[in-house]
Amino acid sequence: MVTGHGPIERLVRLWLPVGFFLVLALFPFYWMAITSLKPNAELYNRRIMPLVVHNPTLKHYIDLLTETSFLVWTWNTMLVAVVSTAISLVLGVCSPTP
Amino acid sequence: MSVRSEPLVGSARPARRAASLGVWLDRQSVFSWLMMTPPLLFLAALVGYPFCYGILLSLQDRPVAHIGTFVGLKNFMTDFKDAIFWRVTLNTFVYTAIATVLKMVGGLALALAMNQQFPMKNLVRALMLLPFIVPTVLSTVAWMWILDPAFSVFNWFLIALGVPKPGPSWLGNPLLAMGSIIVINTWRGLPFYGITLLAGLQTVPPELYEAATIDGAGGWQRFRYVTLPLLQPIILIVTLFSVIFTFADFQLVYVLTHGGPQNATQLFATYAFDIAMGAGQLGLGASVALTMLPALALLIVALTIYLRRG
Repeated sequence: MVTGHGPIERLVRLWLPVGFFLVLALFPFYWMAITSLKPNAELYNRRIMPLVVHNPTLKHYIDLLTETSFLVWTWNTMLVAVVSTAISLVLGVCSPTP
Repeated sequence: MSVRSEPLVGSARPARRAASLGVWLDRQSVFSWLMMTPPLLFLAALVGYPFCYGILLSLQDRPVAHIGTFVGLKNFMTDFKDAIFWRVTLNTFVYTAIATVLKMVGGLALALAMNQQFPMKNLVRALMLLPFIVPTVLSTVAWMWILDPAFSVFNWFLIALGVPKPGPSWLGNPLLAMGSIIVINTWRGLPFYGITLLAGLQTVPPELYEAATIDGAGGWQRFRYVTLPLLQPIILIVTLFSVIFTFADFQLVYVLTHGGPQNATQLFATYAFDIAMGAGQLGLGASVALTMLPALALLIVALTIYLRRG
């Protein structure tokens, strides 16, 4: 816009709102990511500061790959995504809105 | 001659027939119907049939695994005498109204903030879309853990700040639970508003701002008399879409609170599902779901009229 050249004005008009919206939008994803890396003992301990991972582990990912049918689920997801996209593409091309 | 002319005649006829079939297929009316038939059949089978079956179910007393008996409007009468049904109606309207206002105001602020020039603008815009792109069930499970009664990260901070021990029960207290689902719906819907309004903002010609500035308009006046009037049609369309989706919301509430505590967050869609699938009263459930129809139909008619005019 026209105004907004001083560093303080730029902070108030640009960085504070953008930062606020970014933190709001991304916090749950950050939370998901660090939760996936925490060992159970850390997840269920209320005294440890929860915002960072103290003892990162890949155990949950290994369990996911070895103890569940995760690869089958991934394949199913891909299959559904591709087939349903193809069907809606074909039907969508057939019916152009006037 | 006659020997050679025989096969000639024989082969010419199918060729002419094929040509005329081609011409017939090429006729505008025939071709458009041929193209329209598959999608129409598809819609009839997957939208029309369930819809009509829903209406039929709502007029029946139909327990799971039994043959239905026609009862007329009795299911609707039961709904209207049911205190929980009115609670659900109130919940749905409160949820839709507050979430829509929050998304509208927040989305406009988001669009205005993102409309400025700054480094890594495109990356930030893409990241901002994440809540809207990720499947609702997935992000809601994340929120479930964020608001967990025992291990909520918010409560960890509140306790660190001196709030007495267990901290607020985000999903256990009726008011807080309603507040939580409204905030999460806003969180998920904000990028849709933000990106759409941002696209609208970028179509505003810069000369208008220059002219307004020359005429002595301040920042607020430029927003009030230039930005807002030009954005108004887009705001209206986004809001109508958003109201339709929020009003019929299911996934978020079903995953996060299951309509609890004591139906405090039960919406039409979740209540209909609970009655139909949980209690096994398919007819009654269908009648609850169909009470959404008048409000939604009004909105959709309004949207269609507006889009046709524009």
